[in-house]
Amino acid sequence: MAILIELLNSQGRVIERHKFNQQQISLGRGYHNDIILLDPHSCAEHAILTLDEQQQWQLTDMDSVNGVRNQRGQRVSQQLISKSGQEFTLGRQRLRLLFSDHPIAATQPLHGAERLLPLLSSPLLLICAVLLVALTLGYEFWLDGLGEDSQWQRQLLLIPFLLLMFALWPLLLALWARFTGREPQLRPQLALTFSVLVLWTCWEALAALLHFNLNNNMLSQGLSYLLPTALLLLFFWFSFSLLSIKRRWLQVGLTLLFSSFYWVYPWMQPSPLHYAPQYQHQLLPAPWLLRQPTSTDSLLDSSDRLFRNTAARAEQTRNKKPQQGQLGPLASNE
Amino acid sequence: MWYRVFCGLGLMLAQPVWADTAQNVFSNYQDALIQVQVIENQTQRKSAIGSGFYVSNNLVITNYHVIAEKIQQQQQYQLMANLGTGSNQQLDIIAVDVINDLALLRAPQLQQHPFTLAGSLPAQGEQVFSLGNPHDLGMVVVPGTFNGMKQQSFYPRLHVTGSINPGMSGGPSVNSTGEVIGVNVATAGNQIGFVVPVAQVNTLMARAGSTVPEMAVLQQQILQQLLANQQQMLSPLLSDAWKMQALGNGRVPEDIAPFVQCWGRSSDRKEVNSIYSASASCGQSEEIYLSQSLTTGKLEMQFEWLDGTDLPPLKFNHHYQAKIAYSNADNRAGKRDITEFSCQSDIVALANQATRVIFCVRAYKDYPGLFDALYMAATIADGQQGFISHFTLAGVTQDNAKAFARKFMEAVVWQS
Repeated sequence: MAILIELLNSQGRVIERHKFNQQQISLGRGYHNDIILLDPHSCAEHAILTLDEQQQWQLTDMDSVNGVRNQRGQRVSQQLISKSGQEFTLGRQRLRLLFSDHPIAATQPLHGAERLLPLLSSPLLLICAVLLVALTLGYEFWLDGLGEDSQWQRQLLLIPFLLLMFALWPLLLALWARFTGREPQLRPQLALTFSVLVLWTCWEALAALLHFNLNNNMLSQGLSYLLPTALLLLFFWFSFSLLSIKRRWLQVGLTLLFSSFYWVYPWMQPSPLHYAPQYQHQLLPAPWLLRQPTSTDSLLDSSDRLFRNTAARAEQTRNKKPQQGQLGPLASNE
Repeated sequence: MWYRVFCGLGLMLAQPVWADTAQNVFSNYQDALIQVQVIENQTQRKSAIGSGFYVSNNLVITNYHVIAEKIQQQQQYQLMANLGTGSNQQLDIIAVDVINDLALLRAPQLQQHPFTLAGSLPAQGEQVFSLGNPHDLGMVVVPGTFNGMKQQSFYPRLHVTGSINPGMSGGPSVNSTGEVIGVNVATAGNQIGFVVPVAQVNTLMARAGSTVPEMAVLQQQILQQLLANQQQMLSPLLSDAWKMQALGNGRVPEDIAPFVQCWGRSSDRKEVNSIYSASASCGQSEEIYLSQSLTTGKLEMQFEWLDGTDLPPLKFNHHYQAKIAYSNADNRAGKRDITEFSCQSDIVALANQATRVIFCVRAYKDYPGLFDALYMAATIADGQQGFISHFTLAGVTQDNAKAFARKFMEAVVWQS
């Protein structure tokens, strides 16, 4: 039966795979060996694998300096290879021995991100997305610039730096991929990041229109929670997919962790000073108003709810305060 | 040598007559003056000080704001009278008038004669004397000039030109015969002092009982005073027609009440790439002090006309919207005193002009039935022009807040 020898790096990732049909295989640093080891801690003739009469493979240490160790770290001089997949360390070189009938994992279907890959890899998409993001930034500088002394044109020089800042995430992922022996996929990661930024800008424009016309009703409120969250979840999911993280739970965990920052960060901030009121203040020019304005009466009628709610909250606080004997609500502020 | 004699004579003649009067006033009444101390129980140290004066053998008048801490946190503080002899004796609250910042206290028996209250106010320009213990430096008498009632004030105050300093709060201001014309209450700096008129002291004494009421009764009194006061302040504003004037395309009230003063400003019309703005803001200079963290009883309004005709619509809108993004109440209020604001915002047709209207309300935790209301409106920009109107009311009932908002929405509109 043929035998396979897989050389592993320190993380257990396969870096070389060899298949042999002969009855004896020598391993060592010497150039005459069948497997030439690069590890300086291995000897010129470190070990041999031999097939005996019972058709069983044996690994034998050739009196090497650093020896052969099994998976439990014990030094062995001769070891019968009873089952496929056993691991040994020669010096510091890890290797795994497999029989040719070793079962293999099921074929993985191409998932969403990989099907998206050709699209994301297109330079045209990347250029368009980057340009749109740059244009949005420029538009915002222009929008802010008011007055004779406005120097919004100078601020345009910031755009390349801001784009670089947005590119930090894809760069970081590419770097990580590089370190862990995966494909960096820098261009797809960049295209994904900038496409999501474009989608985010589109959402902001839509949100302005919704908030202007619908104020804070269920639909606009719900969408302002759902859509940004969905965009972030998708973004991080595909980002990690492009990184080909094998463990699904890790990908789900990382996606949730990074997306949750969007909600956790505002929650961490100290509550606004002086109890400033929070309200919908979206304004747009008149042509964007797509509905009939309401009447003074209906606004004032529905304001009863505000009085009711706040009075109930005040009442709750009053009830919570300890009533000490004859003391009224004012006497104790605890 | 003769000129020295002449100068000396001149100096003697120039010695003001009031020096004599001040001396008399002080020596006659110094025993009827006390320092009111609010003592913190844990540390047994002064937390606040003010002045007070006997109006009868066992009753002392001071300012409500001097003793407010005792009412807010009864268990934590005690009220003491420093009688000048080094001995401290306990004071009890008989009645308060938060609207006029007065408190009537029961004090240890006075051996000498108390202050007498003047039957009428002095003539403008007449000499008056303010007494009290400024900055805990000891009792002083400060000469001043009576200058009539404070103008543009809803809460009646006498205007006295003379140094009234912190610590003198609650002390009396007296006329040249030593009769009390009012109670020192505030200063605007530079010798401008304010005094609560003696009529308010009379009213408080007339309605006060002779026993020390429970704290709950006092608190109920305060609530009733606040409710009555907001009714008195808003009734004329709600019933009278407001005289309107133009601010750009907006209609704004000219003077809705004598106690609400307006100020205006505008930007340079010639500046390019900018929004021309003209704004008016109206408010009251005085308010009702309830505690260190809570003031109430005031009305404030703001109006702004914006014209950015040469700007692109979206650019104008961007800056127009920023103008209404942040707003807050005009009165001071802490977390313990009020709930958070609850708001509603909608596009409303005001005089046929679509307008973003924001209406927010917060309730008083210790005074059920009282609210602060905040209103903000911005017309939907038409041809890069906008009109913002805003008001806040502090310490009003639901009915009054809504009635005022309705009147404001009907009167303060865009006129095309």
